[in-house]
Amino acid sequence: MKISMQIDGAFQETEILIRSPKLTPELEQVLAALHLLERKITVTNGEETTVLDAAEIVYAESVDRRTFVYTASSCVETRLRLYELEELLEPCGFLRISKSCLVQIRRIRSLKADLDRRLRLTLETGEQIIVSRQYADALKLKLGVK
Amino acid sequence: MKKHLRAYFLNVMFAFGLTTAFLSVIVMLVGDQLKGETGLTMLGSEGIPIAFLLQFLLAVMIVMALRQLFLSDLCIKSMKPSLRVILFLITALLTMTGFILLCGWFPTEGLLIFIPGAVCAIILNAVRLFRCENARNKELADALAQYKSAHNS
Repeated sequence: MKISMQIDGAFQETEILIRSPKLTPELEQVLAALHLLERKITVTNGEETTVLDAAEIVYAESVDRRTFVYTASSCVETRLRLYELEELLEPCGFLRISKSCLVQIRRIRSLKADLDRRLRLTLETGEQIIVSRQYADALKLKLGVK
Repeated sequence: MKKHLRAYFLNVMFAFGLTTAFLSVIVMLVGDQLKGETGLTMLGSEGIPIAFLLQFLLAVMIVMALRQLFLSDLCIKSMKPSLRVILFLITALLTMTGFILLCGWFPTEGLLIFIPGAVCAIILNAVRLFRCENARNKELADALAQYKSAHNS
């Protein structure tokens, strides 16, 4: 792999151009890393690979070692692990609410206290998910509730 | 399911063991005075009758089953926590009262005067629980609204 860079004040914006005879897994990783800088993640829907803006994500869930991302209208898979998504998306207002779930706080429609000091969230999509006891305090802290 | 069954049996054993120990002390202290008058003190201070222990075990099993029903999401998936507690307390109280009356565990003459007080206590605690829960939920809702307005601007 040959890496070259041109720094010139004449350029109006940053453009990254990748030239390759074919799309390899290593190249996909490079693309994914670049998209991460713009808070976008690469997702797959069957055979199709697309880029998803973090703001569109309602919540993400890890099932059988696979990470699924849910938007208002679809469910797609990402190669990123849940903890990687958490690290990336935490500055964008995402919070881990259980061992296998991450939610965007702005996409919560309502929340109520539930059994055993858990919280029950109703998301903008109408789905309800439970914040486990272990993570309920972190969510309350984030919202500024004692 | 296994987890719930295990919790159920542990709760039954704990409640039965602890309460039997407590009742043993009561029987030791006042058993002779009430000998033969109630199901619990049939043998005086010499011990607790087997019939009573089996009846009590059945009562504990029913109460713990009610606890699993109302205070877990095994059967009832969506219900306000305060309502769960109130329903559990009412059904548990009715169960124990039923056993006391049907099996003659304790003398019950004169106990009827405590019923209005017990009902008042249940109602007052229900109101308190509902108000606490509503206040807590409102606090959470306000905090969420504040967070959203702060982060959308």
